[in-house]
Amino acid sequence: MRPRLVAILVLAVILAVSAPATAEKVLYPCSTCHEQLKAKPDRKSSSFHDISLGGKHSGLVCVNCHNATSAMMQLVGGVNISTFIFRGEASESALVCASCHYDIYIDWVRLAHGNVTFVCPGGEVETVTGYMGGVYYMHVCPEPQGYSASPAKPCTSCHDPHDPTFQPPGILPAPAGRPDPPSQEGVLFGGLAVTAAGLALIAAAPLLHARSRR
Amino acid sequence: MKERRERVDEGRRRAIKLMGLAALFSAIGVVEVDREAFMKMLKRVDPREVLGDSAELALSSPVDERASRKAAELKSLCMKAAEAICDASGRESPECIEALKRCERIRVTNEPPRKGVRYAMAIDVDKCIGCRRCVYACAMENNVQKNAGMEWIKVLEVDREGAQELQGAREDYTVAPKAGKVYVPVACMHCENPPCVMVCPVRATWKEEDGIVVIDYDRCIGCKYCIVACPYGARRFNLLPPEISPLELNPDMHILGNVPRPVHVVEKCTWCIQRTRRGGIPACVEVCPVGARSFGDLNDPESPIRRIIEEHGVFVLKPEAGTKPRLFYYFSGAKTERKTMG
Repeated sequence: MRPRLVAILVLAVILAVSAPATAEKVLYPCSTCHEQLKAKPDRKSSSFHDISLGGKHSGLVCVNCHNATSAMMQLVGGVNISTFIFRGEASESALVCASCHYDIYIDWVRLAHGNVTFVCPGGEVETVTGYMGGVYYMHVCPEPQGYSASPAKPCTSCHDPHDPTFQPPGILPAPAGRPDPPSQEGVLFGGLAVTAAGLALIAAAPLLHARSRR
Repeated sequence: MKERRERVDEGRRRAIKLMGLAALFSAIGVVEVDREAFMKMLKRVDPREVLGDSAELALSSPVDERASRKAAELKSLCMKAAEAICDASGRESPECIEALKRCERIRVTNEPPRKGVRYAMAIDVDKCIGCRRCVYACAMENNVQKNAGMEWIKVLEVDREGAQELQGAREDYTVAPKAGKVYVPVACMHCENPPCVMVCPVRATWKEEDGIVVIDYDRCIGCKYCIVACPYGARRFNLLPPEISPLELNPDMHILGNVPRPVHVVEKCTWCIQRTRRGGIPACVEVCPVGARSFGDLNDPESPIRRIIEEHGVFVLKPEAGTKPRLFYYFSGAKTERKTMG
């Protein structure tokens, strides 16, 4: 028992030290477990992964997106979705979404869907939380030229693929310091007074006319 | 005598006829010469040949000169304010370091419009949740006076059903998004026929080639005619001298955009001219958490705006005003989750 524990610990240390940028792929090779487990292809939930397909994806099963041999994968050219979405693979995971939501995918590519940002050569972005608690992205660009816009996030940053309905964040308070709107009471009473005067004039007109004829 | 006069008159008449014919042919000739051929005939004079060494000075426009002057002036003002912050909180404090850093970064430019570009913006009212993040990001990007009712964007809550009348719209809502409501952010529409430009008595506001309606703050006399003329209530008047802390200052500025305005001038949205003319996107588009805003070039068939116009179709506010706005609205059908309120 003890030599086995030591071996596991040594292996873990070696893995941790030699972990490349895509460490998750090394540490979580899905197929190591799933080849042995022979998980049924029509499952909608997994207590081990704490995942249950819901919302508008409640009609799907795990392998629709996660099995590299499924028809879905064939459709998108064998793109493998790892549990973790890496920055460089963002567009590849978007292709999986595109196999059903093609219009939205084109919207996303054309910067008409989702968050958009821009980059400038040699620049950086500072996130500032300031006025009224609002967030603002301050771009620090060495040269005032050559900016280019691009999608800010992959699909799965906003839409949890296991329950894709987007949950809106809270709202910020209304702008302060605005002058009060003009009071409507004066307008109302003024209008009533003018109407009463007009009616009185209509009533008095025949009397005045009769007096002038006399 | 009479015969001679008749003969003379006839001769004169013929001469006039001939001259008329000659004029007609020459006019046709001029019309037929296309612009390119005409430009080949005309040789453009290079100012450097005529002016010699002084050409560089003559070629820089007065706005360029003003931009560099403004940058120097703002830097010295900012440094003074930053020094006050440093004296109060100490040289090593993060406030002092941040204030000095921002003052150092101050840059006022005057990028001209990009050739062949015509900007437009579109807002998806199905997606907008009325969170007001665009309002405050815009205020921070554009060095807008804080807490003075000067925000360039207003977000209106309008009933989804019915005629979507703006008269009953509310700006001071505290809960959103509600079922049965749509949220309509309103700012400068950068109209094709801007009434504000028509009424300016000093030509301090105009429409640039790329479609952005700009204001020259140094030329504005604060008569407020443009505020009255704008059917969208998009312009704001600086009643007080602007006070912006170096800690809140956006140091990246454009002379016709987010440069701090003097007192008693009018200001409004410029589609973040300091970002967009360099190929970026406005702050409101970038900060929108639901991606309801899109910005792009109407002339570029690959732009987001063209995609939206072709795919979803767009509408404008107050079309009857004849202003031809370039801030479009559309219903994509992708509704963001909304709460049902009693």
